[in-house]
Formats: sequence, structure tokens, C-alpha cells
Amino acid sequence: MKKRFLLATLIAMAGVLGYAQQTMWVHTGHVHWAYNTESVGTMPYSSASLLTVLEKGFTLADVDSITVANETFTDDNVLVKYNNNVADVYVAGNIANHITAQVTGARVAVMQDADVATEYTYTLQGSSSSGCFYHAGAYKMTLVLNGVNLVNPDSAAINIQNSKRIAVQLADGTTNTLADAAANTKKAAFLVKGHAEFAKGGSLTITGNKKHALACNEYMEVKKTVGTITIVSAVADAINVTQYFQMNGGTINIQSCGDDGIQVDAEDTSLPEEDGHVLIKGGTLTINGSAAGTKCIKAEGSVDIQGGTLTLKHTGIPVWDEEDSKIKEATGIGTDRNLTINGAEAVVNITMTGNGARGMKCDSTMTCTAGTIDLNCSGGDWAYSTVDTSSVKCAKADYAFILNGASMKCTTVKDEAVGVHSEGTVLVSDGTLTLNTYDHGIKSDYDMEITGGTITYNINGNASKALKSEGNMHITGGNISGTVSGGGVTVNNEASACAGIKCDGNVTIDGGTFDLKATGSGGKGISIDGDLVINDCDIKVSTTGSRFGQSSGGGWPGSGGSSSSALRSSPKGIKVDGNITINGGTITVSATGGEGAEGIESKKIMTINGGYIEVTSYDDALNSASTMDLKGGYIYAVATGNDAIDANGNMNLSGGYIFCCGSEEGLDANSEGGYKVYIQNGTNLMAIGGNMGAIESGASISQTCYSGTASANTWYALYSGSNVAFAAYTPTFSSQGGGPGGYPGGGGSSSKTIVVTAPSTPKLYRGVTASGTKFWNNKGATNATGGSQVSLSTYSGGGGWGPGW
Amino acid sequence: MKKTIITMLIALVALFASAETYNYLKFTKTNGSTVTYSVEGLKLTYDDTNVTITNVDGTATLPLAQVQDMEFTNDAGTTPGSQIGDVNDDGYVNITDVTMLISYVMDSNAVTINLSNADVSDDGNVNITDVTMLINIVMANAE
Repeated sequence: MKKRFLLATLIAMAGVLGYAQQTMWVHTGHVHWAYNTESVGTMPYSSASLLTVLEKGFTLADVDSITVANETFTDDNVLVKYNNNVADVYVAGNIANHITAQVTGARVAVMQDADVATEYTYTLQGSSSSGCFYHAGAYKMTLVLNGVNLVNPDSAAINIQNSKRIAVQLADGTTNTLADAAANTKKAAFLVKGHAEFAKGGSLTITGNKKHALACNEYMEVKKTVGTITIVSAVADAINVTQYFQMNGGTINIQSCGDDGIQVDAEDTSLPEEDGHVLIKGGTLTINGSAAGTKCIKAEGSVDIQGGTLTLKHTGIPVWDEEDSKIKEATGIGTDRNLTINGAEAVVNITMTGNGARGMKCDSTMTCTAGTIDLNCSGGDWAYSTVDTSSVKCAKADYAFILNGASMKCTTVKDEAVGVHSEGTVLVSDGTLTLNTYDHGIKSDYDMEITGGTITYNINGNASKALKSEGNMHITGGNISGTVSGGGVTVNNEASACAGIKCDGNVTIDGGTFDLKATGSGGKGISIDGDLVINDCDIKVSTTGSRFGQSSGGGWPGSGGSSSSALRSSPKGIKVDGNITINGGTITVSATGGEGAEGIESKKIMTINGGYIEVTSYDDALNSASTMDLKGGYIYAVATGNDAIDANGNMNLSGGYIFCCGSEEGLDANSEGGYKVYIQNGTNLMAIGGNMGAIESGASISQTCYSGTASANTWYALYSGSNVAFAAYTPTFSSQGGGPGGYPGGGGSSSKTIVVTAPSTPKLYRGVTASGTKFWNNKGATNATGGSQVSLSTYSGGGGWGPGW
Repeated sequence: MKKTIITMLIALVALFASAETYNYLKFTKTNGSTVTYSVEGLKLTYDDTNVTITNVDGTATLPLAQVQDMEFTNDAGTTPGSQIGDVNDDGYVNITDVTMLISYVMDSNAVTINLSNADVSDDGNVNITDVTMLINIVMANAE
């Protein structure tokens, strides 16, 4: 206690009694030299015309007066005071010998010689509408803006021709404004030849009426302590920097500019400190852009956002670059290298309203690891010519797009306007991606890989895809859900419809959770041009739209005409032009849009080895253009308007647990083409058909089958020997026949013929209580108890086309 | 505890020690003589030949040709008001002072002089003795 009291007392005494310096002022016109009387020593006169003070010679003819005052002027300081049309410069005596100062009206030039090896501080204050500050030197310096307001009608308001580090301090609590005029002979209203580091909490407002508002020939850093830097307007860039731009805090507000908001050029692309990068670690950055083909942030090097809040708005459209013969789009953030957003506190909001705009664009890899990103692009297409066009993209990467932790949202409203487009690959491993777009949600020109994260989408343009890969697609995890609601379109005599997932190559699914809805005409949950392999997953697909395009007419000989199938697109849950192989996972598909609405279709071979597969559809629940091999898994296939399971080649059943119920047939192979249903040992089957029978006629039955009668909406248990193979809940039986007009005698029924088979002598019980593991959304179970036994008789083969053909 | 107190005292002394101010500006002439002026209200101005010193005490002029240097000091030394023989307080001791002293001795009401400077003999009186001594000083300065 006593110690502290004594210490406090001593400090207070020191403060009160203080350090009162005595200053000798040498006044030479509007330049005043402040010498500490303790320091000056003997001041010799010579030739009756010269006075030397601390090695500085004063020509007495230039000396207006010498005065003495009890005041302190800090060493190493220069103070410039502006007062309308005049300015006065005050120079600390200890540096006077290294300083040359010239004042003409309110135009001040202060040069420090090459011998300077100590940092001097230059403080500007006051106002002038015809004033400026020019500095030249070869050693770093501090420039304090302490309530200075300068307009220079013929040059830069502040011109620092010092190539070293310039610490620009916005004195706390002060307001500073700078402006040039159209006659400015320099490239900016505030020009720094060297590298500028901005600090302190005052405000600085700059207007560039000739070219740039603020320009640094080397790097620019904005410290955490910075108050507010406002660019009211600039004819060209608001801030033009070479080497790099780094913002650690503070507020920068760019209200308007004729070119880029912040442009950063590289001086040497091989050096990290000169490669033209942008690093934002904190602060608030607001930029409004409008000029065609310009960017809010334009960097020759990479852009790295680790923090801060960025609000970027741009209303401009693209421009045709004659020199490069290409379109330059209006862009929120554009970089010739990588764009990385990795900061939990980082917030990036970009709003682009012009046609053909880009929210974020990078020529290499775009990586979103942490932070919140909201990209809203409301424009439509832009065309320079019929072949040179630009469509809107919220995010575009030329090499790769990686989402591994950030939360990103993309919104577009016009045709061709895409959420994310990678001209290379896409990787989503973590984070959230929300796609509310008119056209594609996320598109990759090469492979797309999803290992984690959450993707949700609401896509409403015609023929738009939520996830589109022009390469292969590999999904091992993550959550993907959403709705594509647009209809189909016909382009170049080919129909195209919406899809939740569209892949031009092969797709492998090893994990992940999917909930994909398509509501428009011809819409698909998953559409794949190559092969599909599903090893594990939880997939839910629903399509409710009708067929897009011209119908196929009657289909029955003698009925109405038909047209090219290329002009129509049928709604399908999962449509694969190549082979389908399902080894595991839980797959639930619903395709209820009427004619053509198939559940799972392969244009080649379908092989099911495992998994829990539940398909309800209007048209075929499972359809293969070639062979279908059902070797395992639990399969529930119900078609209300066609076959439950339809192979246009041979259908081979050799395992698994299959419940199928079709309004035409339960199992249909292309017998017209000489193909058959093969029921082999190991199959557990409950098959229900319409008037065409449970199983296509001519089936090859190696494992004895039995037939009985099944009722709708009832639990049935199939026993293999004395053990329950599986239990299934029968659906409401469809009243439809196969084609228009139905089958003679067709129509709905509360009971239908059911054909069963099992590895051991099967028994069928109805009205059982399901138990054990439930699947097929509680329409299947591994066990059951109770019920009453159904009478079965040996089944040797189904009826084919019935009377009334 | 003792060490802390001693340290703080030293620091405080150091603060005061560096805050030295000066009361006078001393001019050294080419002939070695000096003259000091109070810095209170001090202002120096220059023309082609002279430096004019203005302060609370008044205004003085020194020929630049006679000034060697100047420095700040707290030694009052020979101030314009205390230079023996500088009867008219102009910083110089010359024939003008002799003339004024003679006028005073003959008629004390004729002129206003610096009586202290005029008491060249330092006997407490200003009389012909001081005139004689002053003449000797002036003649000695002229050699």
C-alpha cells in the first residue's frame, strides 16, 4: 500500500512539475525552426550575414526574427498548418539540418536529405482549398493527418515521393479530407511512392477527380486501429496498389468509382510480398462498383479473406476487351490466382445486379473453409455477339472449387444464371452450400466429389440441375437435399429437363444422405450419362412432374401416331444411361408423374447385390434396357400404371428379398425379344401383377414357385421353411391397366394373384404382425408373427398377354 | 522498498535535470566582451548591419560585424543594464556615454542615465571622477 502510494505521488509530481522545454524559434517566412535552447550551444555568426544553429546555416536576410518561448516542440517532428491560402511549416531543430522546406501559398514541399537515419513525423492540420503537401525522402517516415482538409486544383493533395515505409496515422478524433481536381498531373489525390501503413482512429475521406483516389506504388496495409477511410468517388480506381493490400481492421467505404474499387497489381509474381495479393483479416469493407467490366476487388495475386465483413455491390455489365478479345465481366471479387475464405468471423456479402456478372471469380482454386458467404446475382445473360456471351455466375473458379467448412449461399433469378461453376473440379467436404438459383446450382466441368457438408437447393429454371458434373461424380458423405421445379426445354431438337444430380460421366456413391425432389415436367432426381454404382447411402428421390414434350401417342398398334423420343423427356427418379450396380445403402424412389414416370432406369444393365430399395412409381419401378440381375438386397417395387420390375433383356433373380406389385406385371422380361425371367435358387420373392400376371409368361423357374391370393393393404410374411424370410405390406392395388384403354377386363381389385418363392419350401401368412428390423419406410420387416396361412398352389408360369389383346 | 524509492527519486531528478531553461541570451563580441539580454519577451531581428534585440527591458542594437556568437545562459554577466560605463544603456561603452555623463554631471536634470553604470568609480556618487575614469575606459577600448 505504502509502495503504491509513494509511486503514485512521484508520478503525479512528475506530471505536474513536468518537463517544460524552452524553445528558440527561428522564423524564416512561413517556415519556423524550433530549437531546444538546451541543445543549441554556441551559435556562431559569420560574415555578418550567416547564423549557424546546430550545423544549419541561416542566411540572416532570410530570418524574419528569432524568438524564445517556454513551449515544447518534439524532436524529429515537422508540423504543417494550413489556413486557407497560406501554410506554415514548423520544424524541430534537431532535424533542421536535414530538412528543406518550401512554402508557396498553401503548397508545401518538405524534403529530408539522404543522410536521415531516424524516422521523422510529419503532421498536417488545417484547411485549404488550394493546398497540398509534397514530401521527398529516402528513409521511412510517419505522416499524421490531424484534422487536415486539402483540395489541390493542379496536383495531388498529398504526394509522398518516398519509396520507404510511410506510416499514415489518422489522428484519433479527427476528420481529414483530400481531393484533387481534373487538372491533377499525378495519378491520385493521395499518392504514396513507397508502401503505406494506415493506423489510428480518425477518418479520412478522399475524392479522386483525375484518376485514382488513393494510390500506393508499393503495398498498403490498414491496421486494426484505423478509423474510417472513405472514398467518395474516383475517376479510375478508388484504391490502386502494387505488391499487396492487407486490411487488419478499421473501416473502408468506397462509395463510387469509375474503375475497380481496390486494384492490386503484382510487382514480382514470384515474391510472396510482391505478388499482388489481397489479405483481409478484419475490419469492415464496403465497395460500390458500377462501371462496365470492373471489379469491387481486383487482384493479380491471390485473395485471402480471414476475417472482416465485406459488403460488395456492383451494378455494372461486362465489357468487350478489344486487346484480349474477350469479355471482361463485372465482378465482386476477382483474382488471377486463388481465392480463399477462411475465417470463422469472415462475412462476405456480394450483390451483383448487372447482366453477365460474377460474384466471385478466380483463375485458379476457390476454397471456402470458414466464414459466411452470401452471393446474390440478379442479372441475366449478356451478349457482345452471337458467339461471345456471358451468363451470370455467383462463383466461378477456373481450376477447382472447394467447400470445406464455410457457409455459402448463392442466389440467382434469371435464365442461365448459375450458382457455382468450376471449369475444373468441385470438392465439397464440409460446410453448407445453399443454392437458390434459376439455372444450375453447382456445376463442374470435370469431376465432382462430395465427402461431407450440407448442400441444399431450390432450383426453378427449366432444364436446370442442382448438381451438375461434366466429369465423374464421387459421393462418400454429406447431406444433399432440395427441389428442382422447372420444366423441360427443347434445344437443338433434343429435350432436356431438370435434375437434382446430373452427371455426364460415372457416379459412385459410397455414403451420404440425399433428399432430391423434382416437380417440373420431365424432372429427374438423378440423371447419369455413364454408370452408377451405389455402395452405401441414404437416398430419397421424388419426382412428381409429368412427361415433358410430345407424347408417344398410343403405343398400341393402330392407335395414334408417335413422334421422336428425343423431343420428350420423361420424369424418372434415377435415370442412368449406363449400368446401374447397387451394392448397399437405403434407396427410396417415388415417381408419380404419370406416363414415363419410372423409378429407377438403366439404359444398360441393372445389378442389385444389396441394400434396401423401395420404389413406387407410375411407370416401371425398376427398368433396364438390357439384363437385370437381382442378386441380393431388399427390393420393394410398386408400379401403379405399368410393370413393377421390367427388363428389356433377361431378368435373373438369384438372391435377395423382393416384393413387387405392378398394375401390369410384377416381373416382366422382354419375352417378345426372346428374353426370360429366370427365378433361381436363393430368391425370396413375393410378386403381384395385374391382368398380365405376376410374372412374365415363359419364365424359367429353377426354384419352385407357388401362387395364392393377396389382399391390398395387408401385412404378409413369407416363410422360407420354418423361418420368416421377410414381411411386406401390400399397397392399394391400382385400377389401371397397361396402356390407354387398359386391358379388357382390367381394373382395380382388392385381391390379386401373388406368386411366392423361397430357398426352402415357402409358406405365406397374411395379416401378420411385423417385427424385427423395419425397412421400406415400415412396409417391410425381417420378422413377423401371427396371421393366417394363405393357401398356395404350385406355380408353373404366368399368363402372358390375356384375351382382349 | 528502499531501492524502489531511490529509483523513483533518481528518475524524478532526471526529469527536472533535463528541463533546464535559460534566463539570458549572451552575445560574445569579436573583442571578447559579452553582453547578455533577458529572454523574457526576447525577439531578435536583423537588417543588413545590425541585430536588434527586443525584450521586456527594451530594445538594443548590436552591429553584426562586432558579434561573434550567441548562446543561452543563466549567468547574468554583463547585461545591458549593468555594463559599467554604458551610461545610456545601449550595450556599448563609447564616446556617447562620455557625453551623456558630462551632461548629467553638469545638470542632473538634463538627461536620464543609468546611474549604476555611470558610477564607474563605484563610490556611490556620480561625478567628475566617474567622467575621468569613463574617458580612460573608452580610450582603452579604442586601442
